[in-house]
Amino acid sequence: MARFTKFGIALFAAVLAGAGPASAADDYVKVPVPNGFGVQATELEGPVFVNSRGRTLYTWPFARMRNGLTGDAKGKSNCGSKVLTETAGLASPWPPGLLLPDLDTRPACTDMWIPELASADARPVGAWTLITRADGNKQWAYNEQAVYTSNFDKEPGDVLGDRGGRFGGGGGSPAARRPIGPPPNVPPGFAVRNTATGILVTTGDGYSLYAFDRDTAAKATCTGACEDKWQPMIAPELARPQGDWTTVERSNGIKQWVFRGKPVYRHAEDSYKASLEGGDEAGWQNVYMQKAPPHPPGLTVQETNIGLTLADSRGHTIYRYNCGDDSYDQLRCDHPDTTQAFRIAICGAGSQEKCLKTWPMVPAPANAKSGSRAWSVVAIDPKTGKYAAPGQADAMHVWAFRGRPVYTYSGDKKPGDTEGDSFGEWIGNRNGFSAFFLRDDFMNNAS
Amino acid sequence: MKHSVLASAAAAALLAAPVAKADETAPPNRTIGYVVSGLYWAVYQTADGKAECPNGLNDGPREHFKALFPDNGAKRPVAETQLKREAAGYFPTTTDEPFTFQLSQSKIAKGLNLDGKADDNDFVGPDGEKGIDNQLFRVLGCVRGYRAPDGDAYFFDNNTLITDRYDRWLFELTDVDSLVNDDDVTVTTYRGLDGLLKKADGNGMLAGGSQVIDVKWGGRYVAKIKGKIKDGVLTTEPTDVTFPWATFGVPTDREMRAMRMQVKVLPTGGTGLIAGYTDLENWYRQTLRSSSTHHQAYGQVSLPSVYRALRKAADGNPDPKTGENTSLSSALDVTLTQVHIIHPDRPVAQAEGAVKTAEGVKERAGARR
Repeated sequence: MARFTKFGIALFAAVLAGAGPASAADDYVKVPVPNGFGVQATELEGPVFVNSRGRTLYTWPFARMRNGLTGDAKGKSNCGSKVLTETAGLASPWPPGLLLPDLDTRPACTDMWIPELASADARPVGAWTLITRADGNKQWAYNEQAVYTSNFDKEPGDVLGDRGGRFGGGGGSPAARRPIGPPPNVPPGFAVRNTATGILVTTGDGYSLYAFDRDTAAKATCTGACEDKWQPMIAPELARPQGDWTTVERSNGIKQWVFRGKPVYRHAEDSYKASLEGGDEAGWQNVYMQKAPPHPPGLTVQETNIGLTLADSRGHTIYRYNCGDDSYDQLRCDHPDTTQAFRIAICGAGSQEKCLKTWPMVPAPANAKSGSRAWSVVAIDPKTGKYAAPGQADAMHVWAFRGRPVYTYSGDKKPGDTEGDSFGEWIGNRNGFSAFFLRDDFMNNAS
Repeated sequence: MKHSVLASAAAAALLAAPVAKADETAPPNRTIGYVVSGLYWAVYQTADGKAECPNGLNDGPREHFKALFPDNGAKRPVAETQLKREAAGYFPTTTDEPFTFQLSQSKIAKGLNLDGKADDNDFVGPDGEKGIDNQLFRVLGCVRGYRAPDGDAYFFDNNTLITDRYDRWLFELTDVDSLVNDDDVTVTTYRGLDGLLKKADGNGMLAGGSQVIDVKWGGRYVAKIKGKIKDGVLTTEPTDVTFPWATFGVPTDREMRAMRMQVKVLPTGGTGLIAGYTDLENWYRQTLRSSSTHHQAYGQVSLPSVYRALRKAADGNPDPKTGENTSLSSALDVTLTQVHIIHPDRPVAQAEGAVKTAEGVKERAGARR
C-alpha cells in the first residue's frame, strides 16, 4: 500500500501547488538576441532561447571524458554530418573501435543536433556570434559555443533533447548538450539552481533562500532571536526594485531583499547547498523562481535513506533511464526513438522480455492526463521498447518524463527502497537507471 | 532505639539502591559516543602476497575483455562485447567463466569465530586463535582493489567514509561504569549528520567533535545491542545491522547479519573488528552500483567473477527453501573516534519498523551452519 509520509505529503502538496512562474516575463534579464530568436518559458528549465520556429537552442560544451575529449571547443562545431560507426573508447575501460548498434538506421550527429544556421548577411549581436562550419555554412554561437536544436523537440517549449544527469556531463557520463537561456533576473549576490522540485533561488554561493509565512512585502517579522536561525538577506542602501525584487526596511536604514512580496532569508542550519531542510520548519518555505510541474495523478512520494523519492501508487520508487553512446558524437540512446540495444543490454542482458520483468515501465491508467508537458502518456511497443505504431493493439500505455518512459525496479520490495538507483554503467549515468529523487539531504541526487 | 532504627533504615536503603560501580574510567553520565572514522574489509596480507596468493592476483575487467576478445583486427559489435560484459555484472550467473578465480590460500585471516566452531574451512587469527570465520576474505584476498594500501576499493570506500556525511555511523555506549571492565553495557547505533574533525597533519581524526543523530532519514540504522567490556575490549552480542556506506554518491546500505564488535575502547576512540555474516546479494549489488567498470578496472575487480566466488564461498544464513547459503562470514577493520552524540528533541523516525535487537538473530541462529 502506498505510504504517504509527513514530509512526503508536504512536499507533494507544495509541488502540486507550484504550477509555474508567478511572472515569467520578469524571471530573466532581457538580453539582445538575433532577429527572429526569442525566449520561451518552459516547465523545467525556465526561460530558454528559441529560434524563429520556437525550437529550444542548445550548446555542447567541450567535455573531458575518461579517455579523451569531445564536445565543441569554443568557436568550432564537432558535430558533423558523417555517420559514426564505431565507439570512441571515451568511456574507460572499454577499448575503441567496437561497432555501434543499428548502423543501418544510425543518424549522424547533425541529424539529431541540427546546427542553427545563420543567413549570409547575419551579424553578431550581444553574446551571439557566428562560426563557420566545415561545409562553409555559418552557424550561430552563444558565448562562442555552437548552437543547435534537437531532433527530439517537436513543439515550442519542448526541452527533450538532453539533460545533464545528476553529475553533469563528462568523466564517465555522456558529454551533455544543455539548453541555453538568458541570465536569471536576480540582484547581485543571488543565483538560481535547477532541482527536481523546481528552480530554487539561492545565495550567490548556492545556499537556499526562504520566506516566512507571517511576513509581507512591507513587514519582516523575523527579528531578535529569530535572526540567529534565519539570516535576513540584507540589501545595499542603494538597492532599487528589479523585476520581482523589492526591498523592505527592517530597522532604521537597514534594508532586506523581498522576492515576490516576501522578505528572503538564509537558514543558518542548512547543511548543504540548495537545501530543502529549512522548509521543514513550520511557517517557512523555500523560495523558487518556478516550481517543477505537478507529477501525474496516482504517483506518490516516499521516504528513503537520503530524503524523498517519487514512487508509483504502490510506493515503489520510480526510475529514469539514462544513456549516451560512446561515440565522439555522444548521441543519446535513452529515448524510444533511438536504438534500444543499450537499454536492452542493461535492463535485460539482451532480452526485451527480461527487461519488461526486471524494469517494468509504469503503466498509466486509461484516459490518464498528466497535467503538464514534462509528463505524458506514451504508447510503447512491448516487443521493442520503441514508440508503438498508431493504433497498435498490444501497445503499452505508460507514463513518460521528457518523452521517455519511467520505470520501477523488480528488486525493490517495499516503499522507500531504491535498490535500482545507479543500476548500470557509470553509476547509471552512461547506460543505466537513476531513482527519481525529489530530495537528497546528503549527496546531491535530486538535481 | 531511635538512632539504631535510623541507622538500620539507612543501611537498608543503601542495600536496596543500585550499587554505584562506576570507576575512574567511566565516562561522564556513564555514556560515551564514537563515530566510525575508518572501515576496511579485513584482508590479511603478507609483504609479498605469495603466502595468500601464490598464483598471483586476479585479473580485472580490462584483462578479461582482452582475453575474450583478442585484438586481432576483427570488428566486433558493441552489443556482443562491451555491453555483454556490463550486463554480466548486473545479471550474474554461477556458470563458470573461462578464467581461474584466485581464492586466498592464506591459513591466517583477521576476523572472529562467529559460529563457535573450529573446522577445516576456518582460518587461524594473526594471534593464533583458531576457528576464525572470514569467507569474504577468502574471495577478496587476491583481488587487488581490496588490498592495502593502494587498492581502489580500499581507498575510495574509506575516502568517502570520511568525506560524506551519509556514511556517518555512530555507536553510543550507555550504562558504562568502566571503560576497562563492565559486564553490561548498551550499544546503540545511529547515523550522524556532521563532518569529522581531521587532524591538522591530515592523518586521523580528532576526538571531541559532535554528531547530531539523523532522526529524519536514519531510522533504518538504529540497532540496540547488549555488550560488555573486558580488559578494555568491547564485545557485543550478535545483532543484525544495516549501516550506511556509500561511494561516489550512490546511497547504498550494507547488511550484516549477526554483527558483533571486538573493539579496544579508549576515551578518545577505538580500534578493532566488526564481524558478522555479510548478506551476499546486498554486498554484491551495493558494490556494483557504487562504482563503475572503470573503477573496478582500477583494482582489477571483475565483479561477474567475484559473484561466482561469493556464491561458492557463502557459509551463512541458508535459504529455507533451497538450503543455499545467502551470506558470508566477514570482518571489517574499524577505527572509532570519540564524539559527543547529540540527541535532537524528537525520536528517530523508525522507517523500517522496530529497532533491531539481538532477539531476531537468536531465532535464526540454529539455521546457520
